[in-house]
Amino acid sequence: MITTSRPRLLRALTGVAAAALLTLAGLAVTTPAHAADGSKPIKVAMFNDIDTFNPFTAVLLQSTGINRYQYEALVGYGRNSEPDAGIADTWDTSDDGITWTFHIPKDRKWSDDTPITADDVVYTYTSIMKTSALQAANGGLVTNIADVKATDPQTVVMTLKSAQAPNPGQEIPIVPKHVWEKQDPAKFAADKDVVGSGPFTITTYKTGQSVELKANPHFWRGEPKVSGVTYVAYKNSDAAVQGLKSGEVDIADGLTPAQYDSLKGAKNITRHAGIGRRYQALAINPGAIDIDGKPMGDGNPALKDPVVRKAIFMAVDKKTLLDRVLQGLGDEGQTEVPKSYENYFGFAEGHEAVPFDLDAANKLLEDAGYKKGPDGIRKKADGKPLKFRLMGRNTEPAHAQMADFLTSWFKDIGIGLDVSMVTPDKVNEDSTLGKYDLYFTGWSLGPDPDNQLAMNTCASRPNADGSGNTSENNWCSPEFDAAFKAQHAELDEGKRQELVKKAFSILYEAYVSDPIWYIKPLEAYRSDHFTGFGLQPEKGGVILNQNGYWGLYEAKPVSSDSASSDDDGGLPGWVIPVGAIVVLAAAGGAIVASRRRSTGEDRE
Amino acid sequence: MTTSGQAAIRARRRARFAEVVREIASHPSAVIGAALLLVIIVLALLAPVLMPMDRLDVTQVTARGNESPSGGHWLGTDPSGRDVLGLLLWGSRASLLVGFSATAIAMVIGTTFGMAAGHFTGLTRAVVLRIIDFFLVVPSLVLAIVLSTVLSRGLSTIVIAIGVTSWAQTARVVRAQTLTIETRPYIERSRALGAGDRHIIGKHVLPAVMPLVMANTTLTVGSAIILESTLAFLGLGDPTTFSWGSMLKTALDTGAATAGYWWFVLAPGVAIVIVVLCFTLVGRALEAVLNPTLRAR
Repeated sequence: MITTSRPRLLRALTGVAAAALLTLAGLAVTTPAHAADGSKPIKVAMFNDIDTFNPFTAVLLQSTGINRYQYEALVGYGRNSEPDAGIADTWDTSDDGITWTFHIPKDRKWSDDTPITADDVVYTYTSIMKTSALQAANGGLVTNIADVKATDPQTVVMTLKSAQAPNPGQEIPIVPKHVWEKQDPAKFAADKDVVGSGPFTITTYKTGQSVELKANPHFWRGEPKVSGVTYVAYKNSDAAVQGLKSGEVDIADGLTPAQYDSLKGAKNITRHAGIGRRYQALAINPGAIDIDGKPMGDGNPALKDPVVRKAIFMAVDKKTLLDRVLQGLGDEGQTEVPKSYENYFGFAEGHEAVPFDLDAANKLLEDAGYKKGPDGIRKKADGKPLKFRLMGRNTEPAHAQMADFLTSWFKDIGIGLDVSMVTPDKVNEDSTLGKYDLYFTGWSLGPDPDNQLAMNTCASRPNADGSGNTSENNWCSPEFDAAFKAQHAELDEGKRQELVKKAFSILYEAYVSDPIWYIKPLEAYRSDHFTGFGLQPEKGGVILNQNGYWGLYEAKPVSSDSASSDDDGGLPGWVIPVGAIVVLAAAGGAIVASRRRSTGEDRE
Repeated sequence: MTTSGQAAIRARRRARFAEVVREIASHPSAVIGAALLLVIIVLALLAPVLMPMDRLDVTQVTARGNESPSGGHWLGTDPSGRDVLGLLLWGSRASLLVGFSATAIAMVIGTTFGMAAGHFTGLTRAVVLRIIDFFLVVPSLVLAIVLSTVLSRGLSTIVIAIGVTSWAQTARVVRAQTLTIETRPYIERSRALGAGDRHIIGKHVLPAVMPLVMANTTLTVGSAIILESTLAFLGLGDPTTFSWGSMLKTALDTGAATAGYWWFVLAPGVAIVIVVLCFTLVGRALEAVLNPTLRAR
């Protein structure tokens, strides 16, 4: 039996050694980082998922965000999200708003030095229009386009089915025909040595690890001042903040309020809270339907009743959520348009938000015939109990925190919640297929709300297997479709603003998506490494996650002489006590084990 | 067997029990561990009295999030403004409940398989041994993760996931003990008198391996608690119940460590260390006293 105790001692000693190594490793990563020089790329921390870099099918924020650096659209966004030159430098609209003519200057080149021509544009647009598999990302943007043709290599003429307010040249990334026609465009990964037209293009992508982009020397606005951008994957924002402190990464966004606070006064780190363009909402499954009108998914049938959905809206106290979960770093939600787009923000006249009122919600359900059972859960005599699943992302701490609040409020109105926090991939998959009752969702809006509205039209519902178009809630209403069309065709900006508000108000009153807040993206960067980030909007805007590429395109390295090289980047205070406890525990184990060994030997 | 014989056996067992208790009491570390455990179990049972659930309802609390320790909140508050000490108390219920129930499952499976592998021969032994080997080599954390993903969410799922993944070690120990027991003359005599498998296993082998199982149980509870915390930390626990692992997960997710909110990071961590240490101290002492191969004769 002596032999059995030896491995035990070994194990304990290994534990001590491992603990010591871990502590050392913790120290090692905090060794001073050198100031950036011109040859180093900007390292950006990322912890969101990437679906694909194929611009036809990419819908996740991280991928579309990176694609904005790679591909110009015909018309881009300026520093204040206004239409600005992209692949085209000028464009004209006929008086009836049906024909749009875009002019492409001769100096536009792909990153492989071949010229960008009207053929590339025609290829991109017709591919989306003709193939349903290529409509996942931007299918809603082309439904009104009748024809796209190149009258000469520098001119694209678009004929619309009816007049529309949004510029049809915006938002759709143009891909190089000479590369894509050799591939199956629906399956092409486009994640290696990409040929693009933006300031940076991907050289390599390692799934779950990193995305490397290099500066495009042929970018028409001029080569970026930094050599490239490297996205480094982190498991969570905490690790990203540690990476930022130690200089492993140069910029991180998506910080939690606590992390943001903790960076206050940190040496060489600048914090930045810009105006957000993303809303956070609670989505309710109203009985998902596919493009053919057939039901899909497994949503609780009780949620088909608008009364139940309205009661749920009434039981969400947005102000408390904003204060307590977000520490007030955002704005209270109204419609799906974030407060940063002032022209379209808010309800149309005659519409208003449902106030937080648990008593009224109780009364509403009671009057509709939902009686409380002995377990406190309401049900209709012939229906299922109002017990719903609530799904959120396990990568977003706010979701779990909000779920705690919702569980309590919903309990008060006799609605039970079964909370589960799952991976973002699973949330996307299940929500597309309608396999949910309630879930936390959120979209980032572009400057023109048309795309967000289009996503809620009947035509944007997906196929039964989830392919094809992307719908927000797989919901469909003729009234909303009419409101969408009205704003879409309105060429007078003032009138359109009211129509847009009207459409979003109708969407709100369908009680399928309750915007809770518009978060202020919390960012922080190494001010000793890079500077000059281009904000969008120019005043009070954000660096990453823009509608354009300004943030990193305008960045420039801090000259090495002005940067201080003595980096504090020390261990956070808590590591030492934790490390000490780990070491002590392991040492204690070793002592117990060795004592056991000696008694075992003595007695044998 | 006569009544007086049974009485004699009972008396002998009583004496042996008293002896065991005396021997354990001579291990000061075990006494400290047992005392601490008792305190923790009592506190866990009293949690609803000490900290009524509605004081932890996020919509009712008045404290700000991430308040540092004060007279009102001895261990500060979590990001939602709940009292960390209260969460710790309620979390102990989940940890202990899962620890004990999962271990009970593991012990039943482990003892059954162990005795079967030791008692039977031929094909039965080969099959049972291969099953044990399988569970020995499969990394239990990975298996537990898979199980808790596949089964529906909830504490019972975690109990099952941990229970069915941590019995193989016990089965090995029990098998070894069964083999030595079965070579003893009184088993042979019993067999000669016509005892069947059931009688030998139930009447002779099981009582003989029980002490070992006891010692093993105490040690396994500790690792089950760690496994539970790990699963909760990985986000696989039941999000509606408080547990030390889910507290750590929230702390990590909200950046409490980075922000220096040590009370929310250290409290559940230290709680896990203390409870597991207690179980280990008691378990080691029990093992030293009860395991016949480690005992002075």
